[in-house]
Amino acid sequence: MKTQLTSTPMREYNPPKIPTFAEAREDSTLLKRMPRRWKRNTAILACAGIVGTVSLAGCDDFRPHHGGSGAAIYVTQSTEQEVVPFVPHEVLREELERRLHSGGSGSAVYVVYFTEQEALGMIRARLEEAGLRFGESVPEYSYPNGDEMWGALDKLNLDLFDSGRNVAITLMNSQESYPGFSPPPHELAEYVAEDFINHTSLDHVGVFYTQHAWAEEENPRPQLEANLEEQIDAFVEQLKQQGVL
Amino acid sequence: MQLTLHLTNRCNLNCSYCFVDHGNESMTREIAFAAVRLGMQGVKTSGLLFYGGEPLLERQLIYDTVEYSQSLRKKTGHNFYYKMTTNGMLLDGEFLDFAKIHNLTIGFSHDGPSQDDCRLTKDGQPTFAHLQDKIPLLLKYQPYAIGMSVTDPSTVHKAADMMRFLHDSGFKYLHISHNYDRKAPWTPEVLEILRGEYAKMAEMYIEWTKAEEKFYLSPIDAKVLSHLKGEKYNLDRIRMSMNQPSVDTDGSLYYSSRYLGEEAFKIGDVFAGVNEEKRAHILKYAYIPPENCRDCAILNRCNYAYDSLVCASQADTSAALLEYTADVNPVQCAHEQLLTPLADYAAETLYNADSALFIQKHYNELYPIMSLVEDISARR
Repeated sequence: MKTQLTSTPMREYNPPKIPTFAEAREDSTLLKRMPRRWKRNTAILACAGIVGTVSLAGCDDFRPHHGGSGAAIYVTQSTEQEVVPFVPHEVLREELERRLHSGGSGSAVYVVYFTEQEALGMIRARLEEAGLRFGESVPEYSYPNGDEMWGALDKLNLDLFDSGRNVAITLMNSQESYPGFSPPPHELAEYVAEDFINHTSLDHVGVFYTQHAWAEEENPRPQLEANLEEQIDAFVEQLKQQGVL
Repeated sequence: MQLTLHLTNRCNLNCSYCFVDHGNESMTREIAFAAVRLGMQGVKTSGLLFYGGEPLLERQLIYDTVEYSQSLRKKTGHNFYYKMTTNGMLLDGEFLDFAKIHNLTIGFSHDGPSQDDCRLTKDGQPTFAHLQDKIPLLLKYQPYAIGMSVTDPSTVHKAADMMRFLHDSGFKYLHISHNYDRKAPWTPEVLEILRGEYAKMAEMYIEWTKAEEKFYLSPIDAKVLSHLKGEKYNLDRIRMSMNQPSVDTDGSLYYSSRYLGEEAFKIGDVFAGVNEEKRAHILKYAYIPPENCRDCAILNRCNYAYDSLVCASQADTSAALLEYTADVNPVQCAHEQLLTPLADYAAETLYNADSALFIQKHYNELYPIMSLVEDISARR
């Protein structure tokens, strides 16, 4: 006789005694364990040296490590939508793209010419030049109107804060500014700024983004920088009109 | 956005567990091209997954659609990537040459030792022998092609052997899924057999990882990832799912492949576009697990508690916005409960053994690149 199946939740379960991603980030020695083959492979060792620098340094401006092109390959995999930086190597790109597209139900490779850290550095420099003064502490607001439709936005935090003028700055990363089914990034940035102002005690919020650039575009970095500069200048102009600057 | 294009309902096989209603409909070029244009909206890169029925029965349509998208790429700079799932019967050098040029990744369905139990031709002929030469041919072109197997209650006792077959054939990406149709005769006894098969897979996983082989074994690797990511695991899965609508042969758009042909999950068509209000409305329900699951200790690790919906509005499914409810099949629930401890056993064993490959594979976000560098240096 066939036995009927029913859904019964597990009341207790002991998770495995291995670290999560968040816990592993605290252990700077973890990734020093290398497969035997890698230890005999000079290309891998060279790569691991750079990767180690990038990973452990939190990828703060890694241009000096690879000759100043400013390009980086960012990898996302469907099973693991972590965006990770890596040193550029155009020869690898197509191969990498092919490899990751083979990785299951969906993945993509982006060549990014302008890192978040670089963009944030530019925003800070230009706004300080215009008169803002950013302190060490930033209010712990995350995006107040988190909506499943715009996915990653619910994790959006502030990056810079001028407490004297009550001006906050945030830079949307590529997952935040280009989620599926959303308005174009410049419109999205306006909505996000409005939401921050309407739902927090902040008076002025600058929301910036960097455009995507693809490997087929020849040296797109100047265009990316120019686009961000336009956004920054428009925000400065807005602050001037509002009497903040 | 990635669109799954159901190019045809037709198939040259008659698999015992297949869920596709084999009619005689195929997509027109106009519909396929409109889908390409739709996928481009609002983004700079989009994916096209060719699916069926058997997509290679519409080989010319694949050629035309890829070439049309490439013509748009030249005009606009928009990037495309392509994938296809096939039973392999019609796979040949000509198509693989085309796939190579356009970087079209192939998923190959094969049940290994159960192939001739379940995957027969329309007239009941076995297919294993016919496919023997296709696997090395595919792997010669695409060493990282995906091997996919399916079990049902009658073949579940061969599940581990299916994965071993794919592995021994040279596949590095090994996927297994199960026929979850509610009519399939899953019983606690059959599920115990599956538990035994997963236990074997856990040992295979340990063995291959200790030997520092490169591979991806979907049930174990995905479950390990669910622990590593915690709550984010299912949030990411839902976000991915919401960006992968399906296009039926008539151009209708569905929330995802799982709901193909269900009016309640229709979210537009390739010419009129996506009904954003309805899509967002359905998505809200995807985030709500069934009440019965909310206290489950492995809720965050479950592949089915979120985004498994049925329409709760029984009467009129043509209304603009319907009610939906989460619905986890008891077989899926049992599956998650039996798999999770075995995947965790494999992970703990390897971590405690200081397996460098396990640690790099799971904790180094750059592992795919390190692996690639290794392959390239090996070629030189």
